[in-house]
Amino acid sequence: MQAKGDEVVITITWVHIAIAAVAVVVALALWSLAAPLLGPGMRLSTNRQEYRPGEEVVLEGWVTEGFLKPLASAPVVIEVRGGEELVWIDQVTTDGNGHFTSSFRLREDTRDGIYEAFANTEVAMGVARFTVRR
Amino acid sequence: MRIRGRAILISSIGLLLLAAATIMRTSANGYKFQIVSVVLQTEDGLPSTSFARGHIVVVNVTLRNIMAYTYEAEPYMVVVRMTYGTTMYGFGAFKGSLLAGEEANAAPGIYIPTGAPTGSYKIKVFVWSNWPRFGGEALADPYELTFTVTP
Repeated sequence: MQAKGDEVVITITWVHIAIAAVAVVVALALWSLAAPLLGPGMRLSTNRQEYRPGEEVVLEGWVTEGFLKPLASAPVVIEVRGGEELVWIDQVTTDGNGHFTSSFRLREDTRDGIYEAFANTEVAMGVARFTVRR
Repeated sequence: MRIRGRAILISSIGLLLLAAATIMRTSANGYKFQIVSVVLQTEDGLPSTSFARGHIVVVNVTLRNIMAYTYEAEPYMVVVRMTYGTTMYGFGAFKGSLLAGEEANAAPGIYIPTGAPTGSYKIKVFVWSNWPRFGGEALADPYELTFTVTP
């Protein structure tokens, strides 16, 4: 920056542009790391990775509404299916810690394959996968 | 200046009324719908709490939109689950939409497999906006009742 009388001249060089670009990239990288912690989210898991027909599947999840604050007393809708086969549907409510569970027993005639569990609330959705094998 | 002040006052009252209407839109627990009744029926339409294997349980559901006001009909999906213990032996579903204060009635049927165990079963009715995998949410408290399956 140079002052010429009443005039102020700002000179932008390629170095300034490069510094600004690096700053933007760093800010975006930091945001992408922080966003999962700041925004709403759901963690959904099963008690095992693989089951046999007739065995019990336990689904467990935690929901946060942002800044890691638990989503309490919220309805959670659940659907478990393998391809076109629907094996479980449920509706539960989160406790004070944003925690919920839903368990069911697979029918003896459940087909082998990969199954997906979907849980959804007003703020976030979770997905978990498991395998059924005889 | 006086006219401008009056306009601001009227606008503020309007905004307050809009906020109140928004709060009144949903029930105390936040749900937009209420399951009014669920009656189990035979294929002939007769109420029953006992069904034989190989027959169909008709689940007659009456649903009401309990919102005070809606701009347009609110879509819903009713899902019915039939379980023995914690095993799901069947389900049924239907979709529709209702204006505020309106009621709907539908009766999906669930087939009881011939190989299904006999004993006490549960029917649970859910009202969702869609399937969870498509972002569906709960729209009502579930409704549960029991019935017996005979040989």
